Amino acid sequence: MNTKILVLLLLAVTFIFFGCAAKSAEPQEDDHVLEATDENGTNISSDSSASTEDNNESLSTEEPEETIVSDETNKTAAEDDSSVEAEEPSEEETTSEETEVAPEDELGTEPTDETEVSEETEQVEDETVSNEANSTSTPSDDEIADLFEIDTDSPVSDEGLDTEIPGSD
Amino acid sequence: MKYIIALLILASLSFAWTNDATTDMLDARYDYMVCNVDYAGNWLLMRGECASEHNVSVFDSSDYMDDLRSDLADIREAADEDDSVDFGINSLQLSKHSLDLLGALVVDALANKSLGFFACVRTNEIHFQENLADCRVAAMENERDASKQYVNNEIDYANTQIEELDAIGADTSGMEAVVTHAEGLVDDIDPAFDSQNPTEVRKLYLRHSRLLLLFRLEKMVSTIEYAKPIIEAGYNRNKEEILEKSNVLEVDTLTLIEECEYSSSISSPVQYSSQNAECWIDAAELFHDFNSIKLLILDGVL
Repeated sequence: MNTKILVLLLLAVTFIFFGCAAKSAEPQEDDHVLEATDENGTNISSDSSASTEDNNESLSTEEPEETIVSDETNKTAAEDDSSVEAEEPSEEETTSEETEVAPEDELGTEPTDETEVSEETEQVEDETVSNEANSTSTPSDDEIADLFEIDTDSPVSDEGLDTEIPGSD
Repeated sequence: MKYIIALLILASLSFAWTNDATTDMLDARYDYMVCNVDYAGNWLLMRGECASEHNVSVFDSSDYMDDLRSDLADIREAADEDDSVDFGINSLQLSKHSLDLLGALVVDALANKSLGFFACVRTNEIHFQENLADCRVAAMENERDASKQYVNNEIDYANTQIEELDAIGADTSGMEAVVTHAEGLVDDIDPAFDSQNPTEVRKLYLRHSRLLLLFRLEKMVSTIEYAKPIIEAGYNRNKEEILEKSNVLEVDTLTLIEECEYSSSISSPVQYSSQNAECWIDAAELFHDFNSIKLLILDGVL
């Protein structure tokens, strides 16, 4: 009798153990949840439904960051670079920046902050300014067309003054 | 659209530069022609009197004289309007009618004329020839001054065109060479008029005509050579057609410049004049092609 009870208890304990183990392994089938929990460091064992919501939020914020064209990353990179540049700005660099930014105003693009101007954007600006300079030195099609005008009138005459009139018989 | 552009081009060409000395030039040339026509009328009247005196018949020259006086009136009208083209056309008409009269006189002189008649004409025409010479000298004096002013104005205008093209980076050496020749032409004006020889004056006109032609051709070459690389680097829709036409025109123009080479020494005015006429006829087509490139460029922009 006691032996039967012990066996039943062992079976029950074994069933409960494997049943819980199988139950705890179900969420692991979702990779996103695993990655999210790994990145965010949330404990799935504490609350599986909450961890899933966190993962969805993290995905919804991460996926646009990956799809946006590198402006956002450039901006952050530019901020980092500018912060580095702004830490030790020499006088020469400051004046050169100002002189390079000056034509930008003429082009109508307003710099947000001098310290936010990265090297990459400066290069683009330089190219824009140089292109603008080239466009002013190269005549337009209209100006070239105006050169193609030539008088078609003949001279007064190339016959001179000698209109033949009879002299004598 | 092309028609509108063409009209705009024609309108701009109608405001082309005009020489301030044109009026004086045409007036002086008209005066010279009046001398000749007046001489012809007086000479024919005198000849008719000799015919009556020696009982010989002469042909009726009234229609010929009417033609000459009608041409003269047309020339005067063209001079008043500063229309040098119309002036030239009517001058050629006057020359044609003058030759008609000369031909009629030659035929008439061979028909039943006496020696006394010829002697009468030779004696009485001396007075008219002296008047003709005086009249021509006075007209040529006016023309000498007008010619100098006319050519000097053209040189100033030519230098302006050279400066404009030079300022944008075009090669103007060919145009400058023509201007140098024109300055030599101005130096030769006084000696030619001082000679009181119409042939020497005519040589001036022949040289002037050639230089005017060559300057325009050289300007075309300078313009084409300057514009080609710009058009090639541009985005005109007609780029390929413009470049192809420009290349052909440049070669043709350079060939014509070589064929119509300038010479300050003219041995045969007739031959030089004939060559001038051929050069201008050939150039007229090139001028048309040159101006049509403007239309092509504007059409490619719109």
